[in-house]
Amino acid sequence: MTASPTPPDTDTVFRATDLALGYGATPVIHGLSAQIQHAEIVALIGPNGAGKTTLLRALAGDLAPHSGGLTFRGQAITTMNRRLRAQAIAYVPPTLDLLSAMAVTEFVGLGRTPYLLGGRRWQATDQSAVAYGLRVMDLEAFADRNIHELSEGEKHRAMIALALAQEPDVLLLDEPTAHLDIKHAWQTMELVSELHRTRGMTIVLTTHDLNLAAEFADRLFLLADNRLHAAGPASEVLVARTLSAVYGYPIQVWTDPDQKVRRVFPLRR
Amino acid sequence: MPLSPSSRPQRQLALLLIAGPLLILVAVFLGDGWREPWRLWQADHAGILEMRLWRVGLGALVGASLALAGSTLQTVLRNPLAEPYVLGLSSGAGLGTAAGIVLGVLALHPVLLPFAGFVGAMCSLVIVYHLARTARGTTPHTLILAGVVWGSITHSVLMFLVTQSSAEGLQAILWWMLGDLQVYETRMVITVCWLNGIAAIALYTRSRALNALLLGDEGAGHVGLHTERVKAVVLVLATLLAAAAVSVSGIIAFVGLIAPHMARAMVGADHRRLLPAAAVIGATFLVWADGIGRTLLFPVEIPVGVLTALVGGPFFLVLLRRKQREIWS
Repeated sequence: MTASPTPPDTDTVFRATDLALGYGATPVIHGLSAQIQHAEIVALIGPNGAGKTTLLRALAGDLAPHSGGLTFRGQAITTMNRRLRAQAIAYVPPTLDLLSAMAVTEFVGLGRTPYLLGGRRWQATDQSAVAYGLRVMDLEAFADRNIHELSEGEKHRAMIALALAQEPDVLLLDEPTAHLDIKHAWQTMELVSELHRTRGMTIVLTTHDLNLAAEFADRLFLLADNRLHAAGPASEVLVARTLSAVYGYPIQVWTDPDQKVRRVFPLRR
Repeated sequence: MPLSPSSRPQRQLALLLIAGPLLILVAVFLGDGWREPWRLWQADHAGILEMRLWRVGLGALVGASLALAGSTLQTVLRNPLAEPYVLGLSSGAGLGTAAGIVLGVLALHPVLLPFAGFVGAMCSLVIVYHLARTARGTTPHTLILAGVVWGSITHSVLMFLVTQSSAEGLQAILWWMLGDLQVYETRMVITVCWLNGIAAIALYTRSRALNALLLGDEGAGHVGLHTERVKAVVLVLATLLAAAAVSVSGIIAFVGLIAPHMARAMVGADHRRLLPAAAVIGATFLVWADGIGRTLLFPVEIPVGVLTALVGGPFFLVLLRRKQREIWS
């Protein structure tokens, strides 16, 4: 488990105040008040339809709040300058939706768009940001390959590399491990927590994998019944009674004697 | 070093930018007397040479414009079959232009005609897009269907206008509807040249934004794009390019479909290379189609629109039968 740094209270990255979110007239989340601190890994968990992705998309600025406030470093997310926002917050979608064929380097290079839209020319800093993304995601061998020829795990790494090329402070990951086997899923999360350790990056992710969340996240936000049901470290949120009630299915929680490792498993009724 | 480390696309683009203009120049000799090209410089052929140069110039202008419009429409609508003719933009522009003639815009000033065409094409784009839109955006097939239906509606109205025109004008209008690169009014060609030159530069400056659109609307937003704003701007530019071309050349099908796909195969998806490559390919293709039309059955001239349709129709059908993914990659 990662040694979680305790960030100072003044260093709030995201702040939600009585936040309500939804699509059109349909409400998905309401009355959500929470903060995410600098250099935290937060996992959004909860049953299907609880609003994990909705909340993540709101953090990315895709969704305007129905009511309440949602700020990034004190500024309302939806009113931020798009380019500056993309330089600070990067979002990694669950699957690749790329129209054309292109080389992996070219794809990762799209992550430099927020710096180049003003008309600035491509320069050495852009090249090194792309090289950094490729290196961290272990994609250097694939640099010239057509991205559509890559495996699911490799594609996903390329998407994270694109986000890293944006040189963001915050990385938002939507179901980063949904299409990956155990090895690739845990490897991906090890890479992510490595970024968190070495770069002090703030990371918010959605996942259905409670064990993965328990292992890698500093705090878990359990969303259920259109609200934030519980928030805190795994030891507080991943409690058998809470989980069984929220998921409507008997769930057991196992911890080792030192309370370091925590695992969740369902029991057949 | 921009994006791609491989220099192959760069070399291909350089090759295109050299070979294209050369091929276009050679096409000046196609047509009557192509066996004795030197005679074009004889004093008694001066008129023919001038006409040829105008015609080839117009062909290049129209071909490049349609190709740029097609490339942009394919990217923005995320549809490999999109192009001005298939989407009904060309017939909309044709109707706008014809309405402009009937309403006396031509008599007012001939350079206003491209604007009448632009209004017609813009209306068509809005109508077709809304007809084709489903909850999850437009699919290739609904967009094409809406385009075909709208195209046939505007075409009928256009035909009606044609039947109301004077007998001596009929031949010219008929030619125009099939696509005709003869220059009747040089001032109009020069106007279109300026308009589309500016539109092409404006489009090119948005290459990076177009590249970002390949990530999808939301993906483009996540890398800093004002997606709706950018899409609106480039769609207007593409429509302007197509409409102005139609106002001087008539309705020429499929150039805007073939050229972008050929360009993509040669230089890749990056719009900073794709746009110039598509423009050169479109220009060369159209000028040569017109040149072959002048030469093949001489003294009978095959309208250029007939030749592009003969090549482009089958090309379209092949694309239609392939899967999305295979077309783009």
